[in-house]
Amino acid sequence: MTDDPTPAADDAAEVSDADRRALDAWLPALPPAGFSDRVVAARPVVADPTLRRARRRRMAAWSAAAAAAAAAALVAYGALGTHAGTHAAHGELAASAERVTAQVGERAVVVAEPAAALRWTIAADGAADVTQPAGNVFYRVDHGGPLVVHTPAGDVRVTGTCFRVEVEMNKPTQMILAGAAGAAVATGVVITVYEGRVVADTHAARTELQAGTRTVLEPPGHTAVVAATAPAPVPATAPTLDVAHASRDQLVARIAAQDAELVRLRRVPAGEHPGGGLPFVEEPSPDGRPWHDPSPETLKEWAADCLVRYDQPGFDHPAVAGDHGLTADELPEYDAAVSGVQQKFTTLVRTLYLATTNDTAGAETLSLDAMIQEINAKAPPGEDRVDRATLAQERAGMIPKPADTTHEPPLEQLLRAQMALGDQTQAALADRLGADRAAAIRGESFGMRYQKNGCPQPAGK
Amino acid sequence: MLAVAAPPPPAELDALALRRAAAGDEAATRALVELYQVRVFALVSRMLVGRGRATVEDVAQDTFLHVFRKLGAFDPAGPARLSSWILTIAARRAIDELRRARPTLVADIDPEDPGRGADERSTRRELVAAIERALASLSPPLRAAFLLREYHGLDYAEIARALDIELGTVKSRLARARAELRVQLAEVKP
Repeated sequence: MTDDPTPAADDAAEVSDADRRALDAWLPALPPAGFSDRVVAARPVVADPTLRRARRRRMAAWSAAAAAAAAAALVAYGALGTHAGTHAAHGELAASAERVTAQVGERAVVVAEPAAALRWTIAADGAADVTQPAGNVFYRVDHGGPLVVHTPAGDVRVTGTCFRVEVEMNKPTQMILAGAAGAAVATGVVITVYEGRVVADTHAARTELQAGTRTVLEPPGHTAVVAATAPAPVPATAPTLDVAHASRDQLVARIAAQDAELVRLRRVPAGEHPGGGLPFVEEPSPDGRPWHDPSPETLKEWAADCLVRYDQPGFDHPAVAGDHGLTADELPEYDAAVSGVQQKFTTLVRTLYLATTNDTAGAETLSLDAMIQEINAKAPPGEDRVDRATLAQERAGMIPKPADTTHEPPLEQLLRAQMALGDQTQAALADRLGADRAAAIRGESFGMRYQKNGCPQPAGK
Repeated sequence: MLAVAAPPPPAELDALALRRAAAGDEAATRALVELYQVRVFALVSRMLVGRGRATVEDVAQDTFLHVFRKLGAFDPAGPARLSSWILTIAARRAIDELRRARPTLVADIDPEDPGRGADERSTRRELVAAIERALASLSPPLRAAFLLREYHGLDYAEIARALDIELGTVKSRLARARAELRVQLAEVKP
């Protein structure tokens, strides 16, 4: 049989009563006695059941940058309650004269262009409900619970993706893109999907949008894909534009420039973001060696830039066959190896969190990522840069590594631990699958790769 | 006349137990398994007909272990019911199993209804064999779509989400599966 997307008539597709009775003759197997006991006993040992997906760490890394950049325009208020590391919260991004980056809940980062407005509510389970009445906002949403963006023309629903929503007040966006002239008639909303997929809901239509497409929503619900592929990013800075008086070429140029923001967000050195780190740095080492194992010469170059790299597995993002080159038979071994590394790391982070905050209750309930975020947030300004410089030089062999690091500041200990996760995982895998397979799997990537740079600022800056 | 068992009510884990299970509470996780294990076994055993009891149990257990690991990401307010979400995981695990290994023909445990006579049991066996033949002609995803629809009551949209295929594809697949079923059953029906 082939897969034919042509819908069949629903009523003609149902089974008859006679066939129904025949189907019911096929009794299923029942679970054996004690099955639930067996399953409960086989649960993986997870030290911290509140662990969030490791990818959220990048959100934590961005949060400091978001807070600083958004200070002039962002009003975020109150955790309304806590449960197992989650929190309910509200936030608002008022129209600003500048581009603003902000964290929306624990899973999303937004970059709002000037004049964009945004408000959001994060439910205790992490679900994000965002309202964007105006402006141009880029969203990067980590996988997890749903995130819905309400726009004047419809809703955009995602679970994990990278996309942009542009709300053009009193401007028929489809006409703008088509270069047509006409009176302002309605609000238009342009959705551009860069990664993953989103679902656009209007009163009249539901449309699933794939990566690389751009779609216009217009009240009362007309939906049309106006570009098969998103424009190729160009190295430009998104200009501020008065859309009411802009030409078609200006608008198209602006869209292309805005798309370049995606590239900037992916590639900008983390040092430009206070405390920042970039995930998914997929560029190979410049010397052709494995991503995590550059040559001594490259390490010295990195040390000059206070650049460090580290990789790690996604702790609570279970691998499936095919991930990282894993076969189905290797999955249990991989899970066990990662679980062991995860437990040790979690234990250390709890210790560092306690040393940083003296918050015993928090150490027992906060998620791993929340504790990491707190450790970062409470470090003295600039310490992250000093730590990067130190560790980059150590790794390049320019300075010796201390024999005992347990007396170093918590943030330095944390970074050391993060930078060791890749080696620890590979070693644990080697014990189970052999050194060659462990190296090969790491070469495919454990799934999470980070790069941070930025040297200490000279005094007075 | 064959007895037509009424489907069990679509019970779902309550919100509090769900949160506790997501947080790793043992009692809640046990409650989750006990509530959904019959449905998971029903789906997996029918998906893996001919693979043997041990394989069915392994896949069912693996399903729940995966559920535990991913439970924190489940959104109770989202479009999927917890049962649909769990069955989705079960279906995918079973599909993986079907694709992973060549079938090892093992006599499946045939749940018998002790209240039936020999003739009725014989008829039932013929019907079941016909259904199995019909399903055997289907690809693993199509088999999953058919079972999720006919035995677990998932609607087309839920199946589309579960198997990551288009709604139209779900309908066309199911129409073909039912046509095949009718052909097979016509050979054994009186």
